[in-house]
Amino acid sequence: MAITNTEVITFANDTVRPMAEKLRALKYEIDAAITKYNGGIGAVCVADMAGLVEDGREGEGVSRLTGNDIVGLVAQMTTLQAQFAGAGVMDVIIKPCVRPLRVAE
Amino acid sequence: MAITTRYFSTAAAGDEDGTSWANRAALLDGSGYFSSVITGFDFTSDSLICRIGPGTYAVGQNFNSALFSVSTPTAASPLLFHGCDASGNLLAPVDPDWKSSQPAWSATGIPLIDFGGYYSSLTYFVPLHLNFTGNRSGYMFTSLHGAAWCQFFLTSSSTSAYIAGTAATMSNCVFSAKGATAYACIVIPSAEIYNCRIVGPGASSGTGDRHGIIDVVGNRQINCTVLDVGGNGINCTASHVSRRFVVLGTTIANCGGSGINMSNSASPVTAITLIHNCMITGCGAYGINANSQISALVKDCRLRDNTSGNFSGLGNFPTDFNNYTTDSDDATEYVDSAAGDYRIKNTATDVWGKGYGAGDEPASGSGGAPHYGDRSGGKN
Repeated sequence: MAITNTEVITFANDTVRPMAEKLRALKYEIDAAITKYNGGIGAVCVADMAGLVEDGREGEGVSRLTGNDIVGLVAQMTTLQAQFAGAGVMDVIIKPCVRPLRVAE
Repeated sequence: MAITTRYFSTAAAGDEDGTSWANRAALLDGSGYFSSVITGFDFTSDSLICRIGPGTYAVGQNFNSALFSVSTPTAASPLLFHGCDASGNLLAPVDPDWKSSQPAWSATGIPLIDFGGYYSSLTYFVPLHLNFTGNRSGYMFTSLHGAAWCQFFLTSSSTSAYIAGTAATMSNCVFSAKGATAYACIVIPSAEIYNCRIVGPGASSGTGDRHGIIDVVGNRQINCTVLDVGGNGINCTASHVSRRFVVLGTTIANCGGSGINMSNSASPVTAITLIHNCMITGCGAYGINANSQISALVKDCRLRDNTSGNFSGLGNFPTDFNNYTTDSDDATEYVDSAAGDYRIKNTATDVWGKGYGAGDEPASGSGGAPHYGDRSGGKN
């Protein structure tokens, strides 16, 4: 039965389609980040809580990261990467997308 | 009433008083402070034109009224900075036929003023034929009385970084936050803008409120191009009921939010909003979202590939007044979007020569006339 409920239609266009594009972009960003990490970053960044990342950004009010923080986030990205790689997952995400995936994404 | 001209370069020469190119003053001293030829000028009855020679100028202080020891620029007697060549002659437009949908005009050889972490809050200040860079966490310019043929580059990644605040009229300028890593946007709250190009760091950058143009008054944007900003391409927040918000012949592409977004003011808007001859593609929300504003007339526009849809909130106003929404893509319709050339390709027969956006590619062969939609009534 056709869905004519305007709230559903609005939800589909205002929320579902933009969210699908963001998830699609996130998938490719995660792939790129993990590739970069495995390409050499991982070899010099170990899960060490004492290994402070000296980016000098405390003055900006941002948190000081450790090697442990970076490795922890990579682990989360790896979990999400596996989720995206599940059977049919990307099909579900891609179908609502309107715009083509851009290189910048 | 008089117009006084003074000459400046990266280093002083001759008498160093700026009265001629041979006797030019240094625009900035060794600390990056502005020349006393400028800050000691009496603007009570005279305006001052500063011819700025080639080179790079690293500013070492905020440029504001407190620097002026005698009087400050006024509406009748403003301070104008105009780029000049190595002989003191005024620079002319690099490409007089440049349209904002083309990649930025060449800035090679144009004097560069680098504000770094400093900024300008000077009122009645008008730059022409100059380049500016800045990386401040805030505005590069809180006030621009006007600008023409300038390029502004913002590289800050701060969440509160903006290129321009209050402005008056601007033409043929390029505002770029392309070098920024995330949040920067351009805010031009009260400007009449003609043939300007505004480029953000990317549609996926920022927090969604990083708009290309924020129009808080309800002004005219004509023949402009807005690309790759994280928020809305043009965001009209003017709340007075008589606002006259107009967007003509403008190209808006790949913005994270809507191409054009209008606030719904508390009282019904009584003046009509005109959105004509625009090309709005690939935006992450709506092409045009009027948010139930009751008086927006959208006509002769090309819209496609906008994630949430092409139109929203237009109420009892029509969306089918010669607006073209048939499916296509960037490769078919734009000359080379990947390289920043958003002119409409002359082989795209469905959209070329129809007056959409900020400019078409010239006709192929015969050197035929380009189909530019110049709706300014003449160049500024």
